[in-house]
Amino acid sequence: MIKLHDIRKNYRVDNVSVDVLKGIDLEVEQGDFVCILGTSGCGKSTLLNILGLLDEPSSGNYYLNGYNIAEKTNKEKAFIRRTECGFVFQNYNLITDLTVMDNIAVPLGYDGMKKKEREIRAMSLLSKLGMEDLAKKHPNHLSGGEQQRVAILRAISNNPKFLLADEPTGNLDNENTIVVLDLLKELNLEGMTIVMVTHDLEVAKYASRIIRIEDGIIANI
Amino acid sequence: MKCGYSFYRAFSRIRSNILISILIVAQVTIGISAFIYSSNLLFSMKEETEYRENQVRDLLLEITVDDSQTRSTIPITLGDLYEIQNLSNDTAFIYIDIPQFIPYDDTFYEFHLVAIDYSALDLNNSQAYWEPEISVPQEVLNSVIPKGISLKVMPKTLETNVINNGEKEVAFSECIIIPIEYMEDYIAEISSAGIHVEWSADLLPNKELTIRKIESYLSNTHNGGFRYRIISPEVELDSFRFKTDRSIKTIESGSILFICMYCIGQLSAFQVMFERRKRSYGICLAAGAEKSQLGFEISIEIIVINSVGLLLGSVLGIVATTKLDLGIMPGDILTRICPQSFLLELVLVFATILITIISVCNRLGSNHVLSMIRD
Ligand SMILES: Nc1ncnc2c1ncn2[C@@H]1O[C@H](COP(=O)(O)OP(=O)(O)OP(=O)(O)O)[C@@H](O)[C@H]1O
Ligand SMILES: [Mg+2]
Repeated sequence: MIKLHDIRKNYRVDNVSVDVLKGIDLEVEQGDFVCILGTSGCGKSTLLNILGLLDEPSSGNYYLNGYNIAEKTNKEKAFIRRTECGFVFQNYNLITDLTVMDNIAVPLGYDGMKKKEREIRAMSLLSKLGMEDLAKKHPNHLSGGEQQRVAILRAISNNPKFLLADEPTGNLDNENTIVVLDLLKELNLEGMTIVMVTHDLEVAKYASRIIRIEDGIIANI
Repeated sequence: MKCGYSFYRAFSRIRSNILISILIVAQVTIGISAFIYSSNLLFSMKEETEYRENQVRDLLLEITVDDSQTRSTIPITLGDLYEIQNLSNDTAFIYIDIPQFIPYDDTFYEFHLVAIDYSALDLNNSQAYWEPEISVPQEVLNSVIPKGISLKVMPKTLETNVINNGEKEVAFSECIIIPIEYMEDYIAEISSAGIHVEWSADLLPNKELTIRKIESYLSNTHNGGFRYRIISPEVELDSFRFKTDRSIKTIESGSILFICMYCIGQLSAFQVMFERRKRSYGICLAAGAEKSQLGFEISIEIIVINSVGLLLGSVLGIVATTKLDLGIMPGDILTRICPQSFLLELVLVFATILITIISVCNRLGSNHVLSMIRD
């Protein structure tokens, strides 16, 4: 479902070109739970952002369900972001002005779902995790673990085909790390394709496949 | 594009930002109301000037009452009127406005009974004239016109004439016209303000001298009970113009300053607000919002806030126009509510909205999703 071919990314900093990704080839199948491992600064987030259409590669091709992403318009990419892929960040990235329920419903709203339906959908997601009573709260009043679970619910609210998570447990203590990872594992068992970035080997053990990035290329699979 | 959610988000942004929103609305309100007020002054003054310049009869007899004056005397008699007409070589337009308010058959009928010196108008002295469209029953009319005089439909040439009732012009077609010879029948109903003697300066022979003759004739015959002065409203307004124009310009430039402040203030407020919300916009983009949807949200917010300010400012401007008298306008000139002010105001607000939307959306467009989330 995801196919990367010779993906390269370089940044120009002070007129010097820095190569971050130097030719990534990767395939992810439906139902995979892939973990990307690597030292800090090796380009894990860069790769994940490209997968999540938040960034564009400098060269190379990215095929999603057989379609070349480079040929998609911005509008089509936005559509893919809100319907086909969910993104989970290390720092949760919840919108502080909105309630938990409204946060979860953001992708639904931009997809044109009516308010009533959005709320029903958000509530059913929350109730799955037994967090219904947080629905009307604002994110600042939640613990880190709760915030990350809400962020995951937002990412999956529109029933995407795959989920991208950039160090989802990076800011959490052990206990919450396990809760979040269990949730991801459960989603994967329900059929969700997951690509997760981490530099923690313990966390990587939850995945069914580990990829290591070294010096901008994939070291071994 | 899906719009419903954009409205929802725009309003929830206004709500969660209510204090800043109110402050911006206040800024718009103050700017707009000051602008409306000063524009109304400006346009009223312009209209008044035009009106006075275009008046056919531009010399008026002004009769003012001395405090010592006793109620029983009348300011001008029929004899005086004949003498004035004589002195001005038959060029005076003389009429007496006798407002009527008559109950008949459960209805009140309101119209002007006007006694006119027919000599200048070439009319038949034994007739009263009216225009049937006035819709006052014949019985009522017969009860007010002098006995022994018949009512006739007024000639078309007369309908275009106007009388001036102090505040506005009233067309002849809304009046019942009777010969001035009968004025003494109505003595009890005539007030000094109802007596009008008007000239067209161009037609008055030997103008200065004639005016002085008429004024002194009236003073002498009425023993100081009244003051008589022949004035030209146009010239009179001109003598006030310098001071008035300066005052209006002061207010006008003040209000333009306000508008500029409002425009710049709003621009910076929304720019700052954009910086503050950049992350939230970035998150929405990452979650699948299109930039056009966010641009639409931003536009809604800007339009709503400005519209509320526009509405409040207009209302406040109207209130100021009708209630606030800073003593700027000369004499008894009314400050009118001029549609031009509102047209200009709309243009200004529209321009401000457009500039704000373009500048904020431009910022949105030039930012990369990732850099927005990172901030
Ligand atoms: N916008 C940018 N401009 C210039 N250089 C960048 C930019 N974004 C990332 N980089 C550089 O690219 C490299 C890879 O960054 P990336 O965030 O992908 O690393 P990472 O593997 O996720 O690291 P970490 O584990 O610390 O999150 C880093 O050296 C970083 O400095
Ligand atoms: Mg990273």
